[in-house]
Amino acid sequence: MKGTHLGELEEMILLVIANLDNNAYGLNIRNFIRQKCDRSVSISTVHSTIHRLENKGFLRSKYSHTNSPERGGRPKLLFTITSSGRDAIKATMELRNALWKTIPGLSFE
Amino acid sequence: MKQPPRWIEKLLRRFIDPSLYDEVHGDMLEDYHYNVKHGGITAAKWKFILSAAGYFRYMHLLRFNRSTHNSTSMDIWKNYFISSYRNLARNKRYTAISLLGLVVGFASAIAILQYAFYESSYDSFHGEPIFRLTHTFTNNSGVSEGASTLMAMKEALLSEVPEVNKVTHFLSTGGTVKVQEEIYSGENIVGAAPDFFDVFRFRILGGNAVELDNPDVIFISESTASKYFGPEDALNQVVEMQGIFGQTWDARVGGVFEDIPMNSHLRIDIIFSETKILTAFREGNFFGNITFQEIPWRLLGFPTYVILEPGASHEQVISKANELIAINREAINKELDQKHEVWLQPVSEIHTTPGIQSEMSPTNDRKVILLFTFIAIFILAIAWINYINMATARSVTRGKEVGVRKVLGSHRKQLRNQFLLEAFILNAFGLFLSLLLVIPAAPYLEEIVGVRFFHTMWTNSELIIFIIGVLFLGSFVSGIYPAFTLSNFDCLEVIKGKLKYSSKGVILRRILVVSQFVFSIFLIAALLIVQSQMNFMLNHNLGISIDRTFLVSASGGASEPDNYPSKMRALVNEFMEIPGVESVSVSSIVPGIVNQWRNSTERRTGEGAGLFIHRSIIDENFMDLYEIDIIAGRNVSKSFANDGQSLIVNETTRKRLGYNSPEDILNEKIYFAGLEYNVIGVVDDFYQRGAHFAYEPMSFQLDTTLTGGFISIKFNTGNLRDLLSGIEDKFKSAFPDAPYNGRFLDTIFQNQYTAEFRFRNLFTIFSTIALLIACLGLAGLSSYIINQKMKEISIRKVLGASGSNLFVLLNKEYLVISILAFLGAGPAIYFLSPVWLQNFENRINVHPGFYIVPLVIITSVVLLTTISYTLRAIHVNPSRMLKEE
Repeated sequence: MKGTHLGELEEMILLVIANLDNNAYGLNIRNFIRQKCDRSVSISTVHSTIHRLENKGFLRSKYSHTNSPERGGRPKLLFTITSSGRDAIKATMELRNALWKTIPGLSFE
Repeated sequence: MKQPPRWIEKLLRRFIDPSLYDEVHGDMLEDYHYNVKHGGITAAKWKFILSAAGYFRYMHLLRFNRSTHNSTSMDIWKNYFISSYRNLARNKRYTAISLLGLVVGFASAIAILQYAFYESSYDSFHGEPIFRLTHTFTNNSGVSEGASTLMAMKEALLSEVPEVNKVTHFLSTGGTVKVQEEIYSGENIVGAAPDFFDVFRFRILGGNAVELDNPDVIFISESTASKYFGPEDALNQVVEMQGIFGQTWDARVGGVFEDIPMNSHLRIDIIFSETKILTAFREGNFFGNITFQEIPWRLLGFPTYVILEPGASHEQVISKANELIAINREAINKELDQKHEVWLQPVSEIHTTPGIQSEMSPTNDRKVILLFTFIAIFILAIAWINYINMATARSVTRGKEVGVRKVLGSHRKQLRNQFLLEAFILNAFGLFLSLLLVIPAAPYLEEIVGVRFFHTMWTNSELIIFIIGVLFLGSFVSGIYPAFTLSNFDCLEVIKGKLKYSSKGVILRRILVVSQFVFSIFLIAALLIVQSQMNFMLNHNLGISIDRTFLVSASGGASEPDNYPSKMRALVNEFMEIPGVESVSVSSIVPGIVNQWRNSTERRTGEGAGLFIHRSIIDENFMDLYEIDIIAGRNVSKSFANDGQSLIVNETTRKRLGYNSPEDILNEKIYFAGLEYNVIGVVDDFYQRGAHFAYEPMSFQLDTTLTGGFISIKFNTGNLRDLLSGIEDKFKSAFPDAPYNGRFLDTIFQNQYTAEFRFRNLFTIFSTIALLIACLGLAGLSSYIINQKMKEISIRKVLGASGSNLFVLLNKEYLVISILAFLGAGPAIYFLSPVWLQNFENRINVHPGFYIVPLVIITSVVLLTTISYTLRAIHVNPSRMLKEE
């Protein structure tokens, strides 16, 4: 896919997945965003974004067959961040930091 | 545990990319169960539906998107497009011919169908089914149907027929309106009660319908309001109503209603309170010795509309209504030997049912609409046939392409798709261009038709669906045959060059050409018949002289009955002084205008009682001015003291009353409405309304009081400008308050035929278009066929065939086709022409010429279109054709 550029939601979801540590699947990610980030996204938006990230190579996925009746026997698709994904959020963070630092007349401790 | 909606799951399963489905479905289920626990099942279901809908925003999550990622099918379609385009571009001539046909065909079809849809959309907007009590009147001179019924019907239905939910009626009165200093005439004025707005749900923009009970209140339409008062608020303005049953009163605008749509049979600008009519009837003496109580069951003229209770039986309502009439009119019916009945006519059918008298707006025969729809289909069919013919004729060239494609691995299905796509591209492009053609042509067509029917085009969902349907149907119909035959070619034979043309294709092409010819011959014959009928009618001897006659309408003295006759006499004398005026006549009616004044006779003895006779009040000059022949007796004359009680009848009256010769009826007595008249003369028949109607029974009596409403002026000068301005000036100085309305009588007569003229013009335009497209296609086809036969022709020439041999060879097919088509078209002409001609009382005979001339025309047109190609083929140097190989 095109470049390593990350959208705002993409960045957030990558960070959430990193936070969730081995238990990151669609619904869980959405719930985390709702609770921790106080932001309402729909499940389809989450799915759309994580698959876009996977296509970009920032995420890796595997099925986890937990026998949960609530899911109607459907497996969870768990996501973990790849090393290029890690690079990408890092690069984003560094770019931001660099930009913050060069704003004239502002300094941060 | 409660499950989420199954159909949503099915939908997801169908559309979500299969590799994602497990995950998505699992997550959604988990969310759903969580929501069920924490928010209740209904909310959970809604959330489930909403989040499912969310997936459709992300195309990459859906199935059909995946399939286009990799496959070659997209490239194949692209290739089809390119090769279709190249093919169409390479054969510019044939493409242009097919395209031109399609463009004109689509444009005509769209225009005609919009017209047909518009004409059948009349009164379809009322919401509730409304029925009109249409009146059937029977007496010994026949049966006639009228738009209006007895005044008493409304009250009678309300009190005696429980199946009737709502009833309203109104009476058209005419009259003029004076607003400030301006006088408006020609408005559609009716008297009605508030229940008018219960039945017809026209929006009231200001005011309350109940106010219509107040005798001095009028309701006016939105456009009338802006005509009278401009931007000012019309409510509570005061206008003067004039000349309604001899009354003049100041009326207050109590309400404004939205304009009644043009596609309604109702034409109403002003509604005044019905109570005003009742007062007039009670106080005025309009009906001789008929008492006020007797009026409702005797007076016709009220169009009456009902809404029935749900589930009411129409038959029962009709029979109850007729029973009421029969009981209440028993004595009168017996005396006059008449029968009155009503039936329920759905308002939506009023516009398309001709033959009902005194409709508010002109009707349009369903058959005419159907005829034009057929012509639209003809035109489209001819255009598609052109395409098919061109496509099959080109099959030899296309065959090579097909062969190569097949060798390279094309499937039959892919080839078919390609040819269908080609047809689609041409059809779609044609449709697009035709829309560009229709839009600027619309105003001209509306003028010809006389109806503004295009404004609903873009909101007419039926038409839009139809256009899209036609596009796909057209692509399919015109593409399917070439697609199937061409894709079935055996590639080896094609490439070896064995294939010339398949005999199947030739047979189909012949069938198609024959059917085009059938249409064409039929249309030419129909054109000839329409034209000759119109000419026949226009040149028909009316029995009177209508040229060099100018007509001025006067008020008839409604507003100033006392000094009207003396003013009128003075005016006539002044008119006579205008240079060029030959004679002047004042009468209640003139030829060319429908005479609504009829009375039934009461011939006290013998047959003929109850015959309806049109009455005219004339002066001494009338017969001379109109050159009406008096065949027995004498003209009315002031020199006979009692000529007020004398009557002149026409031949039709004489015959209907059962007298054998004009002399027999002289000095006989005829009774009208209780008065006795002495017959003093008999005149020859003439056409009151134009030659498409029969002669009517008429009578004439001397106008002793000069209250006639029409002044006829015969002139013998070419200086029309001075004449007309002289007439207008004199009229205005005599009647400064009356609206001036002057017209030439021959124009009035021409206007009698407006509907027929429109029909003729429309018919001429569209059948000419159909014929041109057919010729165009034929020319293209024959040029192509001759091109293919060049080699054959050259060989024949080398072997000694003469030019005439070749000419016959190349054209005999068309002669056979013409004859075959004639056999098809003949019966159609034979059976269909009477359907149209029966509308005319005086009609032409459909003699053999109407069959032979179209055949001759079509054959010679065909020969003319093919002759240049034929001649070129004959004159070409054979060596040029033969050395190519």
